Amino acid sequence: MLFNSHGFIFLFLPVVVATFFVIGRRSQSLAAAWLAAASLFFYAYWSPKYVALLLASIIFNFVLAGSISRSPVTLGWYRRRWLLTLAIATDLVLLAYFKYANFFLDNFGGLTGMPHGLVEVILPLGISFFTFTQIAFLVDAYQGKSSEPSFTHYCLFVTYFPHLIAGPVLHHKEMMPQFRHAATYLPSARNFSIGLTIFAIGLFKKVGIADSIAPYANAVFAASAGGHAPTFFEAWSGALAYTLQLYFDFSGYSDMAIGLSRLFNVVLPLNFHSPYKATNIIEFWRCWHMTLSRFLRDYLYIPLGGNRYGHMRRYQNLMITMLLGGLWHGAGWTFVVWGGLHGVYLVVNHAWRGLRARLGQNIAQSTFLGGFAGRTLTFTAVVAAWVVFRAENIDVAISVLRGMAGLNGVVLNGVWQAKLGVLGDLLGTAGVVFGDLVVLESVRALRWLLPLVIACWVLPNTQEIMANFRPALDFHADEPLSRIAWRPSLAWGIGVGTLAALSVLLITGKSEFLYFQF
Amino acid sequence: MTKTFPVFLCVAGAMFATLLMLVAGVNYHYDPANLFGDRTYEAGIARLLSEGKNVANITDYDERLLQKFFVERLKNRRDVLVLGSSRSMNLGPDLFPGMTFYNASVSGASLEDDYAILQLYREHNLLPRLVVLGVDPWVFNRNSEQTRWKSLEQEYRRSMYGNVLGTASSELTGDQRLSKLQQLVSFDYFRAALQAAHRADRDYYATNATELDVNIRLADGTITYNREHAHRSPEKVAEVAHQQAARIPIYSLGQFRELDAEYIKLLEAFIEHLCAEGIEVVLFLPPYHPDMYAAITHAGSPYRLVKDAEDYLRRFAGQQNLQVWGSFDPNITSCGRDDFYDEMHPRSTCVTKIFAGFSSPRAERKPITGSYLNDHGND
Repeated sequence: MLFNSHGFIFLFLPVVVATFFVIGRRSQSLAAAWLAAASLFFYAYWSPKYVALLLASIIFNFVLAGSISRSPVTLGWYRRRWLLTLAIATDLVLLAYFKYANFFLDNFGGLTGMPHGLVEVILPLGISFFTFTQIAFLVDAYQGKSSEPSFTHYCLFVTYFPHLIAGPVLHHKEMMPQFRHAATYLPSARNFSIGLTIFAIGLFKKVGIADSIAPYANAVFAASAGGHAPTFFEAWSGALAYTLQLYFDFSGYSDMAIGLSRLFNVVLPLNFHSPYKATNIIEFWRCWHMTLSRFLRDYLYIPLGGNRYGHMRRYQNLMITMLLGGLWHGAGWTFVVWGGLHGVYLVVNHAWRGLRARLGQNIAQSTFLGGFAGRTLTFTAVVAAWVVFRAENIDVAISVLRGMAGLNGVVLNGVWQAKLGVLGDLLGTAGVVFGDLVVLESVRALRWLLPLVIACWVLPNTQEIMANFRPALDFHADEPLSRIAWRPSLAWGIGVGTLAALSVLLITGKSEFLYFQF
Repeated sequence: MTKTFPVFLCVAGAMFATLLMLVAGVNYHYDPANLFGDRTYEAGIARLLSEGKNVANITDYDERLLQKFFVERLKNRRDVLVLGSSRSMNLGPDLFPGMTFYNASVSGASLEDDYAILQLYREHNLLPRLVVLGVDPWVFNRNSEQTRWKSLEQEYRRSMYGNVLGTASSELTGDQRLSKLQQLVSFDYFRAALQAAHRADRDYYATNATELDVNIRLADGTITYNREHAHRSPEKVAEVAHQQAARIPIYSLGQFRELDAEYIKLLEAFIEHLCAEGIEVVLFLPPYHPDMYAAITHAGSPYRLVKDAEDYLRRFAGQQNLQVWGSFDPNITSCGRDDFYDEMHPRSTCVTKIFAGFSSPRAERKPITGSYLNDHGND
C-alpha cells in the first residue's frame, strides 16, 4: 500500500487512526498491538508471503537482543560479543541473499568465466531499512543504551508503518519512550493539525512535483540506454530532472512519514534539511537522508576508527563508508561508483578544510560570493553523481556526463535561430546546432527545472515552515520564520485544505517511491 | 490556542471536502469516459455509425469507447472483422466482396485491445466468421508504452478470465470498482470532463462527402484522411518518414530488447481461442514506408527486432496453417514510396496490392499443439 493512494488516504489511515485512539482509551498495550497489526497488514498488502520473513527477522532479533541486553553480567563480554556478531551476521546474510545474490553470482561468473545461474528472488520491500533498524538496536542493546522487554513494542518499533518501507531509520531509544507516554494514546488536535499539514506538503512534493518531472528524466536516460548520445541541453534536462525527482520524491516520502507519525502523537527524526542548499559536500551529507548518514556514521565510520587515527586513516574510513553506503542502495556497480564518487568528494572536502585551517583561515566563515560558488560547485558535483546513480550502467552514465560536458554537441530548437537573431548566428559559429532535439521536444523542460532548482536553494523546507511546532526530533530552527511560519490560522487552514485536495486529485495510478527499490 | 487547532482542522477539512466534492460533481456530470452513464461524445458518434452514416470532424475522442458503444448498438453480426492499429485502418470492405464487414482497428493497438474488442462482440453474441488480425511489431514490446487499451480494461479482464484462464468471472474486482471511484477525484478526469463540457456543441457531423478538410470515420470503421494528409506528395511523405525515423524512440519501439514471452503467449492463446470458437483467422502485417523500414532494420539499428517479430509470426503462422498477408518490409509487398500517407500508414492502394487474390481460408488447419515458446525456449 502506498501513502500516495486513495485506498491508504481514505480507508486505511482513517480506520487505523480512529481504532488506535478508541482502543487507546481502554488499553495502551492493546492500542500498540493494534498499530503493530495494522503495520503488518500495511506490509502484507504489498506481498503477504514476505510477512513471514519480516516476522521471523523480528522474532530472531528480539530474542537475541534480549539475551544480549538482559545478561551483561552473567554472559560475560566474550559471549555477548559472540551473540551480537551472530545476530548481525545473520541479518546481513539475509540481506545479502535477497539483495546481492545475483550481483555476486554475476560478477563471480564474469571474473572466473565459470557458468552460473541466477537466483529467482524478489527483493522484499523495505528489507534494507528494517535490517538496519534492527542492527542499530542490537548494537545499542550490546552497549547498554537500549532494551525492550515487550515483544509487542519491539514489533511496533520495527514495523511501525510510517517508517517501515523507506525509513527514516529509527533508533529504539528515540522512539519507544514516546509509545510509553499515556498522552500518545489520546487524540490531539494540535498534533493532528501539524501532522496533516506536513503530510499534505509531502504528498504534494511527491504527486505534484516528483511525478510530474519524472518523464523528463526517464526519456533522457531511456534514450541514452538505447544508444542515443544526449546533447548538452538534453543531458542537463535529464540530469536535473532526476536530481529534483529524487529529492522531491524521497523528501516528500519522509515528510509524509513524519506527518503520519504525528497523527499518532509520535515525533520522528528529521531525514532531509534542504540538502541542495549545502555549500560543501560535508554539509550535503548532514542534510541528505540524515538518518542513514547517522547510521553509517555511528555503526560503520566510527567503529572503523572515524577520524581518530590521522588523516589518511580518516580518508580510508570515509571511502569504505561511502562505498558500502553506495552498495546499500542497490546491487550494481553504478551504486558502488556513486558511493565512491561521494567518498572522493568528502576526502577532497576534508583535505581542503585542513589546508584552509593550516593557512589560518576561519573555515566556518565565507563571503556571499564564496558561499554561492560553494553551493554551485557542490550542487554540480551532486548532480553528476546522481547521473551515475540513475544510469542503467556505467556506459549510459558516461554518455550522459559527456552530454553535460558538451562533448555530444549542443543542439537548440531550430525556431530559436530566428528568434535570437545575431546572437543565433554567433552561437552557430560557436558550434551550436539549430535543429531537432531528439529526446525532448524542446528545452521547455528547463523552464520548469531551473525554477525548481532555485526554489530548492532559496525557499524554506517543510520543517522550517513548521519550525514553531517541533516538526521533527533534533530539529532546532536557527530562528523562527515569523512571516511564513505555519500557524493554525484561517488562512493556513484554507491553504492546507486546498493543497491536500489538489494533491489527492493529482494521484494517478500506482506511482511507487524511488527509495522502495533500495 | 486550545481552540485554534480544532478550528484549523475544521477549516482545512471543509476546504478539502468542498474542493473534492466540486471536482467529483463535475467529473460525474460530464463523465467523459462514460463511467457513470451513457451521455458521452463517443456514444453519439457510435449512434451515427451504427445507423450507417459516415461521421466527419471527430476530435479528441477515445477510439476504444467508440468501439464499445458501436457494438452495443450493432444489430447483426459481420462476416469479417478487422482488428489492429491505425496501420490496418485502410482495410476496406471491397477486399472482401460479398461479405459484411467492419474494421474495428484502433490507434496504437496492443494485444489487450484485440482481446477486449473481440470480447465486446462475444458478449453481444456477434462474433464474426473471419477475423483479419493486423499485427504490429510493437505488440511484442514490453516497453511500447501503449496503455490506451485500459479504456476497455474490464472487457480485457473478462476476456482473460472467461476464456484464456478458463475461470469465467464477469464481476468487477475490488480494484476495478475502486478504480472507477478514483476517477471521481482524478485531476486528469477533471480536465477531460472540462474538455467534454466545452464540447457541449457536438463538433462532429454526419456526411456523405468522400473527402473533406477533416478526417471522416466511415460507417464500415475505415478512415478517410483529410485532404492535406491524403494528398501529400511522395516527397513530402519521404520527408515525414525521415523525420520520424530520426526520432528516439521510433513510435512504440523504444527499448525493444526482446520478443516478450508473455505477449507471445497472449497472441498464441488469442488465436487458439478464435479457432476454438470456429472463427477463421488471417494475419495482416502492415508495411512501413521504405525509408522508415530501412532506418528500422539497418545493421546498427536498435529496432531490428522488427524483423524477428515478422520471422516469428511467419513461423507461427506456418505451424498453424494460418494465412499471412503483407509484411513489415514494403519491398516484399511491392508497396512503393507513393503508397503511404506517412512513415507507417499504407494507403488503400498498398493494401489492395497486398490482398490481391485473397479468398477466405478454407484449408483444414492443424490444431494448435505446439508453441513458438516450446520450440524456442522461454527466455
